[in-house]
Amino acid sequence: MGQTGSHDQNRRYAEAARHYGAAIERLARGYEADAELQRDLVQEIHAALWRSYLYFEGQCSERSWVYRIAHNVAVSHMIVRQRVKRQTLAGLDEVELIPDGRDLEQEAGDRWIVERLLATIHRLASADRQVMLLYLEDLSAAEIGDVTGMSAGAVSVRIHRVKALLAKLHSDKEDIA
Amino acid sequence: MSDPDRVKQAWQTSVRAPALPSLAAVRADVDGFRRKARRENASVFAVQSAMILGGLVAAFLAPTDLLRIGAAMVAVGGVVSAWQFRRRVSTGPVPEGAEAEPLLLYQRAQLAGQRDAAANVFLCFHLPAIPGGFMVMIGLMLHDGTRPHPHLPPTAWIGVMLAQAACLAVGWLGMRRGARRLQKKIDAIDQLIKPER
Repeated sequence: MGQTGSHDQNRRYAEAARHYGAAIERLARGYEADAELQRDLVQEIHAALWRSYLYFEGQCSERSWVYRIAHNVAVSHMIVRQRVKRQTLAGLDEVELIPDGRDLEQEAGDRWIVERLLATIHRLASADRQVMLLYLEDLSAAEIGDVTGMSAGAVSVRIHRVKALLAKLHSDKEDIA
Repeated sequence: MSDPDRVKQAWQTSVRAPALPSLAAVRADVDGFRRKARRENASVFAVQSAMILGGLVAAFLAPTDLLRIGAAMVAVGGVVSAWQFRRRVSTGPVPEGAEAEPLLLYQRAQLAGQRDAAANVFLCFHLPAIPGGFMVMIGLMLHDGTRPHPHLPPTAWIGVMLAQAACLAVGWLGMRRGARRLQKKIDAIDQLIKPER
């Protein structure tokens, strides 16, 4: 039997979708490289988000709520995908920025950064990937701890490594430009 | 602006105006996921029903007492297997509120569910069928229920039974290995979770 949802549920979902729609799409790109599956993942996240407004009563900030829902759906998606395609993932301290052999002069600077960033994110182990994606969305260390459930120490170590990785990415781009 | 902040900005401006799904499409997806979970469970129950029905029919029609007893035991094994599946392994929609758990706790719960399912597959699906299967094999081995089959030496039947046992053992060890691998991932998450939780 289908569900139509209450007016309040639909309204709160629509507001969240408008506000966080771009972040959800970026998150899906961070988890899933295949464009078709990215669209499926975005749809899955929106479905879970709509469903979640049945029982959201301010248990945490709305921002944390949306990111928790979105990342949890993405994690389930990745668990299913890993059964199909096994791939070796690396930690923040081991991962190398993916070398790029294309003609970089033809690429706009930001697009080049984002593409290399995505290639790196796709190789990260799950917990490191979550911290990286949340950091890129401007969440504070405390908010990242709230969304992930990770200890403050573990978040801080990862943010430190993420910053070093992003600085290296930027300096690589400057060297090439 | 620092270098990491510049990269952050490039990331955040990489998607500005997403194509949002319509409310109708979102609702249809929610229903679709529920239907998919129901279909997956239904397909397992269909296999188990076939095992029960086949066992019951053979329990009446088989030519010897041993085969009839074996077939009845297979049917009972099917009932036990269906009951165990419903109790331990069947997938339903994610419980309300679970998706809003902090994500490492959610991920841990998902992995623990998979680990338990892997550990229980042998118990749920293979073990209940073994006594009935063994009895059927004995029934086939004995030509008319009392004497060995004239064309096949007893060693051939022993070979078949040993091969079946080896297949079950390999499957069981594989599942145990999978469960151990999942446990390692759970242990890694436990290291990251807040100590006060």
